[in-house]
Amino acid sequence: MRLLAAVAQDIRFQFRHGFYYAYLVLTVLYIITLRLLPESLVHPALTLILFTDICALGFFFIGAIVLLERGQNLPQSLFVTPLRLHEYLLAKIFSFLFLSIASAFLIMLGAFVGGQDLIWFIFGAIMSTLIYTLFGLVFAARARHVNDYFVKALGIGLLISLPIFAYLRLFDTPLFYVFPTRATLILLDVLNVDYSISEKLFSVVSLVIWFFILSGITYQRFDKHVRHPA
Amino acid sequence: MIQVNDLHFAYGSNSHDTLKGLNFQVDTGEIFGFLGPSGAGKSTTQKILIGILKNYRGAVQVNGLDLHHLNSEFYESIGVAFETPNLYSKFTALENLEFFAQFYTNETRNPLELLAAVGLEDASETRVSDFSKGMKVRLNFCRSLLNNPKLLFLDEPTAGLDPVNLRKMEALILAEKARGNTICITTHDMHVADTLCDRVAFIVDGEVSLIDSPRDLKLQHGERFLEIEYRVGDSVQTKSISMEKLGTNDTFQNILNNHYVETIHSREASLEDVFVKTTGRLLQ
Repeated sequence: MRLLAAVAQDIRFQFRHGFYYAYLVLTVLYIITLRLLPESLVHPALTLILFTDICALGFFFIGAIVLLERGQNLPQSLFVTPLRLHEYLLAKIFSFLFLSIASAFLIMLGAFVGGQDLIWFIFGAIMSTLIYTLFGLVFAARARHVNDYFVKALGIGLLISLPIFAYLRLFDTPLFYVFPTRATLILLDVLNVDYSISEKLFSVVSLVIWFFILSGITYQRFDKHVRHPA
Repeated sequence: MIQVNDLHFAYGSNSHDTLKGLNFQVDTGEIFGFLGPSGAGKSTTQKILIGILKNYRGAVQVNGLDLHHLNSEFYESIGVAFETPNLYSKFTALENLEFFAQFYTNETRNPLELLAAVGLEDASETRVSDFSKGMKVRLNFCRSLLNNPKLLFLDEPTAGLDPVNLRKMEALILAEKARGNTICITTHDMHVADTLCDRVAFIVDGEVSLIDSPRDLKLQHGERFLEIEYRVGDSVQTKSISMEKLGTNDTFQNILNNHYVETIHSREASLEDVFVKTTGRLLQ
């Protein structure tokens, strides 16, 4: 009940602060771009667009949402109710997952994209949203201002995006397999390239491990810096 | 209801303690005030009592629960109104209250009745971003009452209120006491402490220097004089006269019998006078 209430409130909060309009505008722009591209470029462009939409935007927007809340002193008032920290965090994650996946789904529909590896793709999209939302939460937990957050987020965002070089065939190293971005790019690209089952399984396991690591760090940082700041 | 023994607390990596061995207890059904200047440690004490600040040293029990073992059940029976109103600014007053009410398993109060009690019934559908500071303070107070709390923590509950709403707020706080609830007020407004509190604790530099009822403090530290203003011809004269055996005081009797008296006031100390006298500090 508390979790449902918190998720519904977060969705309404995002809507009233214009995040849905921002996503709608970007989604329409992405769809127009994909429709204008030659058919041979649609799939690779879709992978990069979804990567931007799910990962980069999610990473920045979730931080903005948390800092907007903090600007209204809301966490303080939420944590003197029976709402638990994990419920607060799950509400952020679920509400943002809804927004991000809805946007990704619309882009795919708009670009008339489908394929037999759709299950791998959907799993990749969901897990990637979760992971980059958690990344955003980790850095937002301690940030005092939006500028402070964006500086930190930009640095770490660029760092974890390095495997894009491998995707664009510019530079590759086995080290990239440690990055969650590598797994994300593989699973978002399964409609475009025929990856081996071991590559796909590796990506799934990688994202699941990253999810659990980041969940623990996020909980710890919010407990220390947001729920019990001292 | 609250028992605090030898409470110490230091922020972050500070080597010096913000709270330096506080000892006090708050009884069930009383209004207890923490009175002190800004930065004295009042809000820090309150944040520990509501479970926001951990890593304190000493023993703190609230409603029989050791706060080292706090769980979410604790928040079912307390209400908190922070000094800075923390509300969803793009949501209406009613939406804010309805949202927070969903977190409690116990029966909650009717949000519209709460809004009416603080004079915000006509603003129930107005977004909080359009509220004045005083309206936000009143809405904040409503939220703290949503879950019928047995223990209420109010941080500067009258800050930003006009005289009419100040009196209304004082009446509402006293009504909570009449329901048998316990109330902790943090304030640097001695009028609020004097009017509302059964007992006050003076906090200065992280230490409790005195705990007593406002009335007893004023009596103990006041001067038993009265000040009388009376006319002598065209001029007004003033005299301070001891209140001991007033009926046989020749000076007093002479003024009463032979002059036109304009005013008579007893010179009891205000709570602020007592604070300054006992702590050597100003409240502001």
